[in-house]
Amino acid sequence: MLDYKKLFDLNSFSLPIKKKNKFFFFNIKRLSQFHYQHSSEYKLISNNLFKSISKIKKIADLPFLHVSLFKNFDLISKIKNEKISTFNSSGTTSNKKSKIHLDYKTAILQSKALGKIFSNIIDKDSDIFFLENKNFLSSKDAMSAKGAAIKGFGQLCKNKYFLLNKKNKLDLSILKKYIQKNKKFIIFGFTSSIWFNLIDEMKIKKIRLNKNQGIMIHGGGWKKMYKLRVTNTKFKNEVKNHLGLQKVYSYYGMMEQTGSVFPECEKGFFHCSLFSDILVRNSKLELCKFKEAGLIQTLSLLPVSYPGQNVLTEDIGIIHGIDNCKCGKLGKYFTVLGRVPDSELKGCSDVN
Amino acid sequence: MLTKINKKIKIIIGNYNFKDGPFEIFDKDIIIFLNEISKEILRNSACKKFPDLITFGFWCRTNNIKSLLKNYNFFKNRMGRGSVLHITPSNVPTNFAYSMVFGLLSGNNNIIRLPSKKFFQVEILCKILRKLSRKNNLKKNFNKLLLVRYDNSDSISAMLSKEVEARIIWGGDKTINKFKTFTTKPRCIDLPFADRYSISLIDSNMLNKLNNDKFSTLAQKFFNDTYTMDQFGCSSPSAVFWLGKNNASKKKFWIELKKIVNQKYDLDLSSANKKISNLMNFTLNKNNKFRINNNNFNLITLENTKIEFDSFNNVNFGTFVEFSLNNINQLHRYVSEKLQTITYYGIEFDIIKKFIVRNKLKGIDRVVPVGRAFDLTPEWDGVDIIATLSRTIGN
Repeated sequence: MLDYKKLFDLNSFSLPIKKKNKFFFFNIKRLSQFHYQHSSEYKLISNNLFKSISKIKKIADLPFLHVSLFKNFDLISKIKNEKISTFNSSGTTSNKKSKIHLDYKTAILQSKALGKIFSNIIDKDSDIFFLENKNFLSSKDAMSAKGAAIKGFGQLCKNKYFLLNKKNKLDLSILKKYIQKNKKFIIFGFTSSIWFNLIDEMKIKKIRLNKNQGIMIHGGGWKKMYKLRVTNTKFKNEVKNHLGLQKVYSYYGMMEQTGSVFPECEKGFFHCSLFSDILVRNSKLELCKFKEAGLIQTLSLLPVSYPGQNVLTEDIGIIHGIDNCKCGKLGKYFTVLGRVPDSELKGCSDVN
Repeated sequence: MLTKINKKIKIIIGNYNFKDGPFEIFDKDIIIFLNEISKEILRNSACKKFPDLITFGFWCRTNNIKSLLKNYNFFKNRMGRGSVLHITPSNVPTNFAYSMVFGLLSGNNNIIRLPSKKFFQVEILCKILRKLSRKNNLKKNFNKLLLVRYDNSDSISAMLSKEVEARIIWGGDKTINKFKTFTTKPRCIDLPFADRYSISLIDSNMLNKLNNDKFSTLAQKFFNDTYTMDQFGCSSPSAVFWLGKNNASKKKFWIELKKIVNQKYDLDLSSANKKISNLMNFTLNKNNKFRINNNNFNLITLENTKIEFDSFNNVNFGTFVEFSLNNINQLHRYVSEKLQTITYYGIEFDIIKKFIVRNKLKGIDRVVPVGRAFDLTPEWDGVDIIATLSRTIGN
C-alpha cells in the first residue's frame, strides 16, 4: 500500500509541479494496481478498455471509472477481514444514488486529508458550527461523506457545535453569543443545505446577523443550485449578507472521493492538493489544452476500500494553469462550469 | 367522432370532425396532393439545410409514389379502414410525415400526434401544410388530417385510442405496452414498431474486388446507415458480421470508415459522456469481455468478444462489435426475435433469405443492401403498412 505517513507529512500545496507529478503518478499507479487486484469490476474495465497498468507511463492513460458506475454497481476492493460499511450519496436530484463502500481505514484517511487541506484557513483556536443535527455523529449516518467531513473539521477546531436541534429546527442561540463576544468561528455545511436550511430559513424568519469574525466553508451538492441558477457569486453574497461573515470558502469535491477536495482560493479557482489531481477531457476523451472546457476527471490517493481513485465525472470544467495562480498556491487550478447537459437522444425508441 | 374535445390537445392542422369516411388506396387526389407537398418542400430554400426533408420531398413525388403503387397492383379492390391514430417518435423529425403518407395512401383519415420536441423540420412541414390547406383545389385533403400536440397524457391517449380503427405506434416497447392497456374498438388493429437492433453482413473476399473509389463509396453508405442518428435508429447496424477471411479488406474497411468519420462526425461533450458511460456500464452489466480496437473515440470496434450480443445495441455513437463467421449458418446463434434489419454486401439476398427460412427464424424482418438501412418503405419491420391499414372489399 501507499506510504500515507509521507503523504500527510508533506505540505499539501507547495510541491512544484514536476515533483508533485512524479510523486502523484508513482502513488496513483500503485493504488490503481491495488484496485486492479482487489476489484473485479475495475479489473474488467481495465482489461477491456485500457492498456495494462504496469506499462502505463502517463497519468492520463491510467484506467478510470465513469461516475455512473457507482450508482449502478457495488464497487468494492476488499481485503480479507476488513469491515466495510456502505453509505449512499446524499444527492437526491437523480433517481439512483451512488453507493460508496467505506472501511475504517479509508474513512480515517478522508477525515485527516480534509483537515489537512483546510489547515491553513482554519485557526486552531476557532470553534466550529456544523449545519447538522445535534445527534448526527452518534447516528447511523455518521459513516458517510458528511460524517467524514464533520470529523475531519472537528479535529482541527477546539469546540464543536451544531446548528440544528434534535427536531432539525434551526437554533442560532450559541452562534449569536459568539458574535456578541466578537470571537472567531467557522460554519461548515453542504452547499445546498446551507441554501435551503439556513439562508431560506433566515429569510423566512427575517434574521440577519451583524458583521462578525466568522468564516464559512461549504462544498458539494451544486446540482440543485445549478437548477435554481444560483451562481457561486450569488451564493457568497447572500451568505455574507445574512450571516455577516468575513469570508466564504467553497470547495469542489466528489462524494466518490470524499476528503481529497479541491478548495477554492481567494482568486476564485479550485486547487489540486497533494492528495488529488484533475484532468479535463474533450469530446474525443483526449486531454484538453489549458482554458479549454471539457469533462472533469478527478484522481485521489485516498480511496482504498473501493476503486474510486480515478473517476470521470459528468461535470464540465476548465484548467486555467499550473503553479501560477495569483493566490500563491502551487499546483493545477481550475473552475467548474456545471453539469454536462443531457444529450438529445436520436432514434425511434422514445415517444414521450 | 371525438365527441369530447379535450382542451389539453393543441390542434396544429385540421379539425376534429372528419367529414368523410375511408377511401380507396392510392387515391388519385391524394397522389396529386403529395406531389404538391413535394414541390413546396423542394422549392423552399429553408428546407435545403435538412437532408431528411429533401429526402422526404423526393420521396412523395408522383413518380416515386407510382413506383410504390406497382407493388400493389395485385390489390384490386382495397380501401381504408376508417381513422388511424399515429403515435410518432419524439426524436425522428420526419417520421410523422412518412406515417401520414402511409395513412393517406392506404385510404384513411389520420390523427397524428406530433413529436413533443419542436424540430425545425416539423415546424416547416406544418407551415407548408398550412399553406396548402388554403388552396381551393387541395382543401378537401385536410378533411382527412388532424395533426395535434399534447403533453404526455394517458387520458388523452386513451380517449383517442377509443375512436380509431387502427393505431400505428412508432416504437418504444414501453410506449407500445402502455397503449395496449387502453381500450380500443374490438376490430381496431395495431401496428406496433418495437425496440429492435440491426446488423451488417459483409463478405470480406468480395471487398477485395473493389477499387478505391468504390470502397470509399461503400464506407460512405455504411456511415450513412449508422452515424446519421448516432446509431440510435433501430435499423442502424450495431455489429458487423464478416464472411470470408480477407483480413486486409476488413482492416481497410475500418480505415475507410474512419476517414469519413474524422471528416464528418463530431460528438459533443454530452454524447461523449453518454458513450463512455454506456461502454463501461455495458462491460459490467453482463461481465462482458472484449478488447477495444482503434485509437479513435469516434469509431470504436470491439473484438475478441465474449459478449451477449443482445445486450450490445445500446452503446451507440459509433461503436461496433465485430464477429467473424466461417459461413452464414454461424449467424444463427446471434439472431433473436429483436433483430430487425440485415444490411448486406458481397452476398446474395437469396442466400440470406434461404438462411432465414431454413432455420425457421422469428427475427430478421428486413434484408437490404448496405446504405439502405433508413429507406422507409411501406414494408417496414416485416409489415406491409399500406396493406395492413386497408381492407379488401372483394377479389
